[in-house]
Amino acid sequence: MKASRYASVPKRELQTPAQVEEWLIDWGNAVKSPCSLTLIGSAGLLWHAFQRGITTSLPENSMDADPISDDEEVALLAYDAMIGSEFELTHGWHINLMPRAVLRELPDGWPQRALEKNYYYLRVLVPSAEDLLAPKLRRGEPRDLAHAEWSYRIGIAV
Amino acid sequence: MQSGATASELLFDRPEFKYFPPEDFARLDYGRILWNMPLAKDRLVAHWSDPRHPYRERFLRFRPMIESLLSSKLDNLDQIAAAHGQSLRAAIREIPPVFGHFWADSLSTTIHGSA
Repeated sequence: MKASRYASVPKRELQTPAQVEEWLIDWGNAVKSPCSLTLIGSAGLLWHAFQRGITTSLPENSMDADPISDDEEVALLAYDAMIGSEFELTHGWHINLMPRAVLRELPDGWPQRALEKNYYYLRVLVPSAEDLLAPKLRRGEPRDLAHAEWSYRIGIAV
Repeated sequence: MQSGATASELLFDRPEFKYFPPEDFARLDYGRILWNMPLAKDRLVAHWSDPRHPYRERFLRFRPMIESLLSSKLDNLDQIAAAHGQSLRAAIREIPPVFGHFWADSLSTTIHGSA
């Protein structure tokens, strides 16, 4: 049987806070005009961890990061990093663009509690860890609960 | 950057979209964003027309409707679907996905000659 090109996909997936920061630095270097994205899901939790100097890995790895953006440049970067892309071959995880409507699943007032950081031209907005956990806790699947427990344990959510 | 509500935000509260997968909404929202960029639009068409794309035949069959969904004002989405005998839910699901393992090829196809 011919070996799949995916045999070389790193198995590390998305698990450490530094992976998210490195990805955003790369994209910040890549965009040529002011852009923004909102980061939700476990990648958002990892972002909060990195900003606090925490290096603890996520207990249940994630396969993807879920950004939301209205910007063409960000959308194109994300299309180049979808499942099966060279980005995934290199990183071991991929980008899963989410529609802006999913922000409705966050608690009211989340923008006022969100944090933001600029990576050159790229402005990244991340809802608070508590707000990111709200949809996870509603779903209540084992992986979601493990991410919540991790967030409380490392102190990014109370 | 676009302003105002996205298609997914406008449709999100409608009962028939209550359980609509976010991936389907994403294909509509981001397809509309990329459709504004001539090169990205050409890449999408080249990718969806690629013989390796599993939905190529469906794309070619529904291409006028799909192009209208991606290019028209948001107010017109229902009429576009109806004009093609579809519900808007079904129409949106005809927007093909992008497959990462040959999406990059659409760039050279677009630059060096159409498929």
